[in-house]
Amino acid sequence: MSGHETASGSPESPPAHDIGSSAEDRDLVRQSVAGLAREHCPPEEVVAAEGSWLPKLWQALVDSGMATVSLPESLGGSGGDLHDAAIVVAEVSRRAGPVPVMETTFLACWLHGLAQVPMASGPHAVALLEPSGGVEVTEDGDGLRLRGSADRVAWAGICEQLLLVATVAGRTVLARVDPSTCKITPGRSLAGEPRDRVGFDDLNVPAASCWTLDVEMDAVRRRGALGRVIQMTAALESVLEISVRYAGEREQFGRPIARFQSVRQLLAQLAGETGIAVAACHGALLDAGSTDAEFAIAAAKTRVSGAASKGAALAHQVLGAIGMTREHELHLHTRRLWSWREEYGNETWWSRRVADQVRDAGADGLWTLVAGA
Amino acid sequence: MIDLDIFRPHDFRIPPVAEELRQDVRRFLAEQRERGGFVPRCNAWLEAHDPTFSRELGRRGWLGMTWPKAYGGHERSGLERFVVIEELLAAGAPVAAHWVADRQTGPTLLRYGTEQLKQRFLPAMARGEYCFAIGMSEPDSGSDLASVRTRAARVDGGWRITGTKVWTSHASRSDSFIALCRTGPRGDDRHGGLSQFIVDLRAPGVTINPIEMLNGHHHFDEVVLDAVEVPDDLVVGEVGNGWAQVNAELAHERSGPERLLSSFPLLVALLREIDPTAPAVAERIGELTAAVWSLRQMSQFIAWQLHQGKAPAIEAALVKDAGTTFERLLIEVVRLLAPVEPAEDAADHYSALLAQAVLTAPGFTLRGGTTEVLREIVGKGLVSA
Repeated sequence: MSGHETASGSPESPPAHDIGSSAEDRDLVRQSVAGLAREHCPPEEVVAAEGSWLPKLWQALVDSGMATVSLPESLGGSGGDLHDAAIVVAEVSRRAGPVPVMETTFLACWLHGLAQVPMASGPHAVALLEPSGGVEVTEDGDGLRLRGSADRVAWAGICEQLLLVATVAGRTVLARVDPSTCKITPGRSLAGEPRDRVGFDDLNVPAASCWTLDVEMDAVRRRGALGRVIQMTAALESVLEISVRYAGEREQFGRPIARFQSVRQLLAQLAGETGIAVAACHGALLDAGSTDAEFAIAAAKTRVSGAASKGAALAHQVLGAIGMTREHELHLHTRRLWSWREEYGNETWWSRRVADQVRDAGADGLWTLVAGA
Repeated sequence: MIDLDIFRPHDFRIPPVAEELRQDVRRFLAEQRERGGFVPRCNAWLEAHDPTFSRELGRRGWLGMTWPKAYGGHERSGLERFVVIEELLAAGAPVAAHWVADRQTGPTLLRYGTEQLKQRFLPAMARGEYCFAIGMSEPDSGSDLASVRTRAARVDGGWRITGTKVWTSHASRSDSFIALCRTGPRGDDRHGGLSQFIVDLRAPGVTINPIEMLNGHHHFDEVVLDAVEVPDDLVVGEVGNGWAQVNAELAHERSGPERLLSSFPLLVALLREIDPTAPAVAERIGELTAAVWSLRQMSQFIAWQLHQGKAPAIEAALVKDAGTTFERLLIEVVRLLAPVEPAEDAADHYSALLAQAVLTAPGFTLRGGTTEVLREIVGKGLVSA
C-alpha cells in the first residue's frame, strides 16, 4: 500500500515479543487439532452426543498431547502456553466439539500450574463455589468439608476429575474431588451439553487434595470467562462461514440469495460482529498476563457475549427456516453461543465490572484505561 | 475459515518505542489543555480547524511521520503514527487543518506523484503549513463516485478543468485539493477515463461557496471550477488511472481510528456528571467502554496491516462500519444517562458536547462511504471469496 520505505525498512513481521511458542509451533497445534476435530467431530456425531459427550474426540486430543497443552511437562502436561491452549479450545469449539476442552485445557491446566500440582488424567470439570451459592465450605483439619449442592457444573456427569474453587478463611482453595463421591443430577445447557447439579453430602476432602491458590476467586472467574470468549469467537467464525456458504448456494427468485443486497447487508453485519469478537478475543489473550488483564477480559466478555447474541440472530435471519431445524448444522453453533454467552458472567455482570474500573480511572483516565497506560 | 486477515490475528500489540511516544503526546496535550490551548470537542478532526495547532504538531515531528526524510518526513513507523493520532482524537484536539494532507494526500503523492511534486508539496505539508482538501464528490456523484462529471480537457501544456465539487471540507481555508476528473470515456467496467489533478484553490476560475450545515456550522464547501488551468506537472500519477488511485486514497481515508472516536469526548464529559457504577447506569457505561476497547483492538490490527504494507480494503470497510455505527450509538445511550436539553452555547461542557454530537451524528455513517456502501463492499467480498 505505501509506496515508500520507513526507517524500519520494508514491511515488517510482527514484533518478537516473548509470547511463548513460535508462530510455526502455533500453526502446528492449530493444524493438528483442526484435523482431529474434522475427523472425529462431524455434525452428526455432535448431535448424537447431546446430553453427553464425545469420548473419541477427547481420546484423540489426549493421544496427541493436545488436551494438556499449556501445562508444564513437570506437572504432567505437554508444555506450551496460554496461546497454544487457546488454539486447542478454538479449533475444538469451531466444530462444536462436545468435550470439556475449555474446562480441562484452558482452566484446569492453568489452575494446576498456579498450585504447582501435577494434573491427574481424564476430562476435568470445574466448579466455582461462590459464597452465596448452595455449597457450604468449611475447614476440616487441613482438609475441607462440603455440604450442599452446586448447580449447572459443566460436564460434571462425565468428568473423571472434579475441581472445586472456593474462598475459605480468606484463602482461595483448589480442591480435587472424585465425581463418583458426589450426587450428580443431570442437566443441560441450551446446546444440550451437560450442566449438572453436584450434591455434596458432608463430603470430606483430604488435605492431600487441597491446595492454596495465590489468586482471588475473581481471577479464576476471569480465566473461565476468557475461555468462553475463545469458544464464542470460534463459534461465530463457523456461523459466518455457514451463512456465507448458504447464501451462495440457496437459490430463490432464480438466483442465489447472496445476490440480494438485503442478504449481503446481513452477512456484512455478521462479519462485523465476528471481526469485533476476534479482535476482542485476541486483545484479551495478548493482555491476559499483564496488569491490564482485569479490564481487558471484562471488556472482552462483555462485548463478545453481545457479539454472540447479535451474530446468532443475524445468522438465523440469513438461513431462514432451514436454519431453525435440527437437521441443519447451524443450531450446533448458535445454541452454544446462546449458552456460552451467559456462563462465567454475562454482559450484565461484566459490564458492571468494567464500570467499576471506569469509576476508579475517573473521567480523565478513561482513555488510559482503554488504550493502556 | 473466511479468508480475511482480520480473522487471522497475530501479536498486534503496539511496540515499546511507540508507547514511549504516546507518553510524549499525552504530556503535550496536558500542557495544551492547561494553557487553555483547546477545548475538547466531538468531531474535532473534521470541524476544528486550527492551523496554529497543526504547525505546532509539525514542529514536533508529528505530521508526515512515516514519510521519507528527503521529503520532510520523519521515517517513523505506521504504528507510531497510529499512537499519535489516536491520542489526539481521544483528546478531541483541533486537528482538522492538517488531517486530509497527513492522512491521505501525502500517501497519494508518495505513491503516485513525480519527484517534483513530492519535493514541492510534502515538506510544507509535514510542517503543517500547506493544507489540502478532498476533491471527489459532486452534487450528482456521491456514493457512485465513478460517475463524476468534472471534465479535464487537454490544452497546450496542461489541462482545463470545469465542473463542481461538493462536500469539500475547509476548501475556503485550504491551499489545494486533488480533483478527480473525467479525461476519457468510462469504458465497459464504468471505472475508466478518470484522472487526478492538484488544483490550486486560489487559482482563477475557482469559486468557493460555503455550505451551511443544519447546526449552523460551515466547514463543507462547494467548489466550482470554471475553465481552471492546471499545468501538466500537477497531474497526479497516470492519466486514466484515477479510479485505482482514488480507491487507494479511500483506503487511507477509511482505515483510521477517527472512525470510532468522533463522539468519545462526550463519554468523557458524561463521566464528570454521573457515578458510572450507579444501577442501570453501570451496564450502559460498561458496554460502551467495552465496545470502544474492542473497536480499538480492531483499529490497532488495521494499523498493523497498513504498517506491513497491506491494503486491507474489506477489513477497513468493516472496521469503519462498526466504528461509525458505534459513534452514533454512544450518543443515544449517553443522552439517556444524564438527561439535559442540549445547547451548543450551554455553559456546561457536557450539554454543549451533547448538542455538538447530536447535530453532527447523522454524518458519521455517511462520510467517507455510507454504511450501506461499506456493507456492500464487505458483503460482496464475503460472497465472492
